[in-house]
Amino acid sequence: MKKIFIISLIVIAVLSFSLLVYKGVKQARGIPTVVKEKKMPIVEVPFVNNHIDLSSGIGRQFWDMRPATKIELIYQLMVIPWPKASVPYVKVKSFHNKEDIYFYLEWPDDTQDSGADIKNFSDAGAVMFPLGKKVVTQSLMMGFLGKANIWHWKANQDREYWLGKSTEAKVYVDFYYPFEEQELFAVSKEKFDSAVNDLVAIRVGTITRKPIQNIKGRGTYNKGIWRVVFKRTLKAEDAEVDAEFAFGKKLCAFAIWNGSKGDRGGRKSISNWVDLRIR
Amino acid sequence: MGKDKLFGLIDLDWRFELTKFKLIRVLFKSRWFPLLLILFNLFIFVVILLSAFLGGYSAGNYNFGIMLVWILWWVLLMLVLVPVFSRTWCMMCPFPIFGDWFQRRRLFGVTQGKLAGLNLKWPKFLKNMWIMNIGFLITTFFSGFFTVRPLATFILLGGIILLAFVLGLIFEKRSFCLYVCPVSGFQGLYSQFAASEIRRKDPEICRKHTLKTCYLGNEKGYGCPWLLLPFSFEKNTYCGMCLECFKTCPHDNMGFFLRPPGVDILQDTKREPRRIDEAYKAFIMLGIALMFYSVFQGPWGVLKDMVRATTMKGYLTYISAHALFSLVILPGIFLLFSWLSRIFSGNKDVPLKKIFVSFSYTLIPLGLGVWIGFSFGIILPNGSYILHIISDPFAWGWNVLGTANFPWTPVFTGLLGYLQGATLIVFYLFSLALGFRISKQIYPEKSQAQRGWIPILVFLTLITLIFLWLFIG
Ligand code: SF4
Ligand code: SF4
Repeated sequence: MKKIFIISLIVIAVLSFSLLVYKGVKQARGIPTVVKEKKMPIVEVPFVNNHIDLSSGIGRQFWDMRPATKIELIYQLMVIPWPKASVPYVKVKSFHNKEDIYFYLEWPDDTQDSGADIKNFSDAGAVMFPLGKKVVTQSLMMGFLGKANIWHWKANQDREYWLGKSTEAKVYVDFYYPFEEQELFAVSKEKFDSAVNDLVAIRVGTITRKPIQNIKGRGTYNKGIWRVVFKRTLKAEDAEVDAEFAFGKKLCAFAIWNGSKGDRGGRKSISNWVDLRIR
Repeated sequence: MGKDKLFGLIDLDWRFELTKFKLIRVLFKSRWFPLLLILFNLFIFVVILLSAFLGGYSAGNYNFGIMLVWILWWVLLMLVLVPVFSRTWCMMCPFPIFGDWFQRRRLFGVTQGKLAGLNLKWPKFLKNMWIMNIGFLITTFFSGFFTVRPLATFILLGGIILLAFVLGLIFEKRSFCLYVCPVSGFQGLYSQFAASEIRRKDPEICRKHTLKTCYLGNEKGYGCPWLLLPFSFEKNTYCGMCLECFKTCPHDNMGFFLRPPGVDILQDTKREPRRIDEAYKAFIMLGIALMFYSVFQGPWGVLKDMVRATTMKGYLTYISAHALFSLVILPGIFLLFSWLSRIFSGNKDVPLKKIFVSFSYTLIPLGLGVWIGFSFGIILPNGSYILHIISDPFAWGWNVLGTANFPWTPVFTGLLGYLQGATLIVFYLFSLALGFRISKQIYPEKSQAQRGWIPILVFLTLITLIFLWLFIG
């Protein structure tokens, strides 16, 4: 009896310790947590027999009928400067009509920042398409690890381009030499022929305006919502620097800047990769 | 004949009884002592085990378990407890408490009659240090993990506690402590050098007291749990300082004494002879010290990689070389010097084994000196971590004592090598002083002893020079 009791005690003690060691080894690098891999959002780009003339608006009625993909945004944290606040999401819609391809972006923003001042920055939104065949998909930054074509719509540029309201009044010292009636010297102010900048980048800090600008775009602000439409020919003019849209899958990513929160340059909210399905 | 004086200064028979002070005597006779110390340590070890378990594979320098065990406890053991107070760690050790508790069926007070558990006798052929020798050597194979991975420390300490409990259920009294505990062997060996001892005071009183309550136990306490004969033992090696004999002796004839360091090394009686298993303990400890110093405090990164098992090949090379060095090469070289000693002495009648075993005890002071030096190398650079971990034992962001943010601050590391060197030289001198006396015990004639001593002197000097080179460079 005594023997059995002692043997059972030994077995219990040894088993308990072994169990503890097993647990310890399993959790030696911390308590395991199940991380669900997030599914990549999909934006459908179907054929729709429609044409939007941006000079008369963004075609709101049409867009309101189209389905949207809601894409979560996060702070850009890979390079300094980091943003101070984030834009939570952007809703994306898209279609093509065999000639042109359109992207519609919609995101919340309490303030409309479409001017420019010493301490004010413009709201903005962008779409990035990786260029070339080998796409480094770990990258979240525009052009972080590979070449990319970026379409960058800016609210102040939009105002200047579509409404003819220049931002120069508040920051005129940057534009005209004060003693001349007219501008005599070349200054940094560019004349825009679109509300959207057509850019390329090969890594962080290399964003460059393309010599030929191919993107049209327009934005409207209404009750705390920005709605922006991008438009380009479906066919790429120069595959080296222009995104190609063959039927099938294509990666893209989005970025939003909230000017009143100090966003500019790298201070922005970005999406993860998004899958385009061009049909 | 004049008194035998160590360095011509310290009379080897000098003793100073600390238990003649009433306070100490009363304390030693109380059943609360050392139980309260054990319970306190048990609490500390629970925190150590918890923090080591929770620490997992995290870095060891900010882990309570690792820092307390391998920095504070180890250093205290080697620097103070063993060299000065003998096996005082065993007095307060919490490892065997669960076995004791089960056997006695109570934590406090004395159980009369038979103890619980199977109470088997430890097998005769294992009544030596071999299990501890091999066990400790194997433990050091994993030193690269114990000192940096909290979970490894948890497994080691938890394993020791489990084994102490299991063997406590099966075998009588403290068989685990006597024959298995990896911490026991080196404490036993080096406590022969300790500057204190527990002994009976007056042999005449013991002789007349026929009912040996110190061995059998009575209502005041248990018979020696370490199965010693408290009334006659002459060496610290196997006395776990549990103080039961102080409680059971009706004549207050047990005493705790200060004494000149190293006197047990000269003991070679029929009851407590010098033994080859103890000799091997001395070689293994010296071998480990050499290996540890080279790996942990030396400049050779390649060795660190091997110990950390960066590659399996490197790791296997390390453990094979380490075992071979401690078990074969070092004793082999010493055997050669022992043989030379016999040749030099001109006395071929003395068995080589006796020369080898007896002289190996000269490695006790030297080995202890090396370990003390090594311990300086641990505590001076790393001691400041302790301030951090005692304030935040589980790395949960606590700041209990306000020292959680104390930065890593090495102290006196510029003097470290010299401190290590000076310590080594002091202990080398003890080895010489005691070694020559051993030589006189081995060889019947003084001239033989003088000649026979020369090779051993050379060996000890060579070992000292190697460590001096390692310490000071
Ligand atoms: S021999 Fe080991 S278990 Fe026993 S008291 Fe000493 S250290 Fe503790
Ligand atoms: S002789 Fe035995 S009873 Fe006395 S202190 Fe040592 S181990 Fe304990």
